[in-house]
Amino acid sequence: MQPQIPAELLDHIFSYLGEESDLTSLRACAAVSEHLSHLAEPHLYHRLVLTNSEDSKRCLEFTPNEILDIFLAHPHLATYVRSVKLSLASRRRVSHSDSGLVLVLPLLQHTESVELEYRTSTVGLLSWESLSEEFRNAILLLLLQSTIREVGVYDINNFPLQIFDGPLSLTGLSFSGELFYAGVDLSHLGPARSQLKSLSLFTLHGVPMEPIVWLCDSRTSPDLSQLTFLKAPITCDIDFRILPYILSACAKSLEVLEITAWPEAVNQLYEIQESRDSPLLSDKQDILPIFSSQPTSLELVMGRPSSPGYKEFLLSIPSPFTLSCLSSLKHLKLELTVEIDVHGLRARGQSNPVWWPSGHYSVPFGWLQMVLDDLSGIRRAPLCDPCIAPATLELLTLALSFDLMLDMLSEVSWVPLATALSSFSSAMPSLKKIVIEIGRRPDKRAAHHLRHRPESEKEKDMIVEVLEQDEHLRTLIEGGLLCIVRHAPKDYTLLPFSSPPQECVEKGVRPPYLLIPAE
Amino acid sequence: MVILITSDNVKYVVEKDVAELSVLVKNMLEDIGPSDEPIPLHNVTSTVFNKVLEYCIYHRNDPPPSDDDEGCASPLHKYLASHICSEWDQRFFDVDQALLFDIILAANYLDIKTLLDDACKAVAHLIQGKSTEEIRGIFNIVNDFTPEEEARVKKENVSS
Repeated sequence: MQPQIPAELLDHIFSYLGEESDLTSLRACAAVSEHLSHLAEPHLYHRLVLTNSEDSKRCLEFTPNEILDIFLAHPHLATYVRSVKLSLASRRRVSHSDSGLVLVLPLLQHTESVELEYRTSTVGLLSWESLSEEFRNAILLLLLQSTIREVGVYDINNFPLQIFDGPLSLTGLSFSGELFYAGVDLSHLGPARSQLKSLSLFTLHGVPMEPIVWLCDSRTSPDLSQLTFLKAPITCDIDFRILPYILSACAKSLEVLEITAWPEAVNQLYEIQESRDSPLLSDKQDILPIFSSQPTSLELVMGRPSSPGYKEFLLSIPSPFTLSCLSSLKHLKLELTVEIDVHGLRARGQSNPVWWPSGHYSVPFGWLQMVLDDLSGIRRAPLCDPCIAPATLELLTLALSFDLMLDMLSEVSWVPLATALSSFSSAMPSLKKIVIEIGRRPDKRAAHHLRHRPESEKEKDMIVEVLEQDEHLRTLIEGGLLCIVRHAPKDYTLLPFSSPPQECVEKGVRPPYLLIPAE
Repeated sequence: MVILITSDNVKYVVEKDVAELSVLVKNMLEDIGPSDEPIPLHNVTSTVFNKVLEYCIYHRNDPPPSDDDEGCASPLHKYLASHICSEWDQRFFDVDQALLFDIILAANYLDIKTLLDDACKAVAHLIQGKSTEEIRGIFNIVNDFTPEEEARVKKENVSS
């Protein structure tokens, strides 16, 4: 006799389908019976993705008019929406869908998370002003609802950051692109500010200035002193001067720090078949930048001197910053790149690609060593306060993307990597695990296809095996501290328990998760 | 050691740290204080408890789950929970459907959060890709929609 599963447990089961955005399975469940329909619907409508694009090839789950019809016929369904993603098209692709969205957005009274993104297949920005005033107002009213906790604004040019000033319920912000901060005094809003828990900054051209100035300069912008999660890029030297201002503001609260460090900013060049453990340095590569070598004040300008929005700002922090001041840090994740190309490589510190002669590779392990030494307190700039190394760090994740020809992989020396990890683990007794996630370098033009190419998964497996067989890294693996895994794309995280995913079996690749051998 | 008695009167002598993975048992032990008195598990048969015990023994040294998934779980725990699917767990849940449902009910009764979460994930996998009719079979549920309601549900699901 089949036991009956109570409603709260069915709801729990459906929540996993919702997490995976498996709407097909949720719809099948909703069509089973009235009882299951009531349980599945909240998960079906939990996350809504809408666009104002008229491009039929890019049609999402619902058009604005379709979802409007559904919500008007069944108003309770709109109350299930907790997360909204608005994928905005350029004006060339919009005709009347804005008006549909203008009617839908006020119905979403329980929304907690909003993402605004520019829907484009190419790199570019959408101007906020290009949206109709009616549409902009509808979006801003949604963002100002008291239920809103997290907001992401991606590649919307001139989006007004000060909408988030004052006593909002915000706890998380994510930005990319060029935003707008006018530096206007909004002190009339009073001392209350939202307390951010998470902040993510994405960019192709260094840390975006406007959010930094806004967050560090304004007295009414969200407070960073309780921030627990920060994700930021490092694409050039200036980022090493900007990030300490955010890190200083949350030095006591930050628990998770994720840094995407571009090879142009942190990698060093090595010569194949020469002295493989010493980097080949050009004049411009003799000093690797780290946080603790930066000054305590920074002048920033926004806009061009002749433009109306031109502003000058002076930011300052009390003392020079070192990573060891992050006294609550539990997880450090560094996204790094290994580049090998027989035809040449880009040099660090160059904004335009400079092609090097063949027979070289570039790795970030010298910089990694410096960062870990800075964090653990092994090395500290003389001007820095004697911060105590965070005794809380449990997990170090290195997401290594490989941009290389696989047959050149054996030419890379992993000694600098093993040395950096080994000395760090000795100096950081709280460290429980180091995880190296192996990925292929995301190619913007082919990132989507690359992730799903089976040969890409096999290539990752090959890289994992090479690293696992390296004698220096093997010592750390055998000690139980280090594990090396293939980076698991998000769409692979929900796995059958009964067997490895069928596609992995068919393609002869490892399942995309860490296997712990059974005892 | 703790003495536990299942609903079919099978007696188990279990190490305390293993037994206390069940919040129900832990609370009962705290209530009765130091005692050799057996603890009855009214809603769990020995067949199911064998599996539950197997899980608890294997996971006895895992970091404790957080009550608040949003805030309190350590980064390491979150990382392991989201990235690691052990071969052992895969084999553990590779059981017939009725037993899997019994494990869910037992985990819920005994208040073992990690077992409940993992078992519910296993059922979610079981559902994935199945048709409505197949899901009716899995949950042993009869179609109780009126023809009008069924037509509405089907219409709303067309966009999939």
